[in-house]
Amino acid sequence: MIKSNLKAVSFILIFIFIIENSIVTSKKAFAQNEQIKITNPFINVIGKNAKSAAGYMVLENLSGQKITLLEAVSDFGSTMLHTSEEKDGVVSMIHLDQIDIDKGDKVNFIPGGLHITFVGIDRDLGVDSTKDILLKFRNSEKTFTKTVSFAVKAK
Amino acid sequence: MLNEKRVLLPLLFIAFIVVVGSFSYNFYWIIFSDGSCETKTRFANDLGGEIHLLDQNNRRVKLSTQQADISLIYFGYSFCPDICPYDLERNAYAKDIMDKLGKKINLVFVTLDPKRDTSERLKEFSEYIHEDLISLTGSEEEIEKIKDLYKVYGKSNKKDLADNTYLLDHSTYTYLTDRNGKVLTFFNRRATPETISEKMLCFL
Repeated sequence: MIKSNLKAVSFILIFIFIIENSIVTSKKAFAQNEQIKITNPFINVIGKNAKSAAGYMVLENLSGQKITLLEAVSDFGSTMLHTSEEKDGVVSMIHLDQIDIDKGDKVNFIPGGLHITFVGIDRDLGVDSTKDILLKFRNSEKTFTKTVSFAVKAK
Repeated sequence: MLNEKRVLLPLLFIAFIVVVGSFSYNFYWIIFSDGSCETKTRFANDLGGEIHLLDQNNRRVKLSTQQADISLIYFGYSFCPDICPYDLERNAYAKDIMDKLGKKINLVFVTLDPKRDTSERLKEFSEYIHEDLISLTGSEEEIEKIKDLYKVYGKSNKKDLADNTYLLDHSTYTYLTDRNGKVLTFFNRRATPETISEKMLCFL
């Protein structure tokens, strides 16, 4: 009798522990990562062994405060946050130190506009593969990172 | 007094017709330029010239001896991460439209970055753009000469020339030329493949 009661109590305790733990974990994940939604991340490479490429995505700030993209980091080359600007038919790449995304706003990284520039690429990225890019963000409280899997495409 | 009026009114009418006519004639091409063949003789200039450079197969080729009578030429560089691939892809679509119509054009890419764009690199690059793309490179002097002929701008954004990760600020116009490289017309980045192909038909 006591044994079976003990079993039942320990089962309930373990159950509660698991449930509680998963709630805390998901809350943490939401707090750290889900404040910023990233859709359609891809890297465009032209040609085998291309030494440079551009990365695009859509960033959506789901938090209640401004989030700033500080940096993108890859393990295959140097990265820069850029925007392409055209004046009188001449295009220049403008370096950006950071990109602000106001609460509730969406920022589109698109060809001919905002993009992550990759230079000095040290390997063939391989079309149809994916590459992990670490994005560093900051809000009013802290800096946080998010690793995003970018699809490698040609054109 | 009556005679003066009789003379003056027709004169004013003629002057009005001349002014309106001349205005319409001169500015028609600006207002209705897209896709209209009327503009084809309006682009009087001495832009362009023969191109004699090294292709992606390491052969020296001339524009004048290519298969088609007209060439769609883009100037850029293969290390260009954001702009050139999309402009060239647009031009490749225009080439596909012409192919479907059974019309021959040369699809040409001239590098503004001969230091890094070797024939070998251009071969890898071209395969991703279009199977018929003619990609051209040459010595720095040769490319400078071509830039001058076509009034094309291209300059590294880094002062340190030893750093091989530089990007170029560069012109993004696509030129349509005849067999001798004379510029017939040009397109900006916003021109669609359809607009470009419509215009090319005017010159064939």
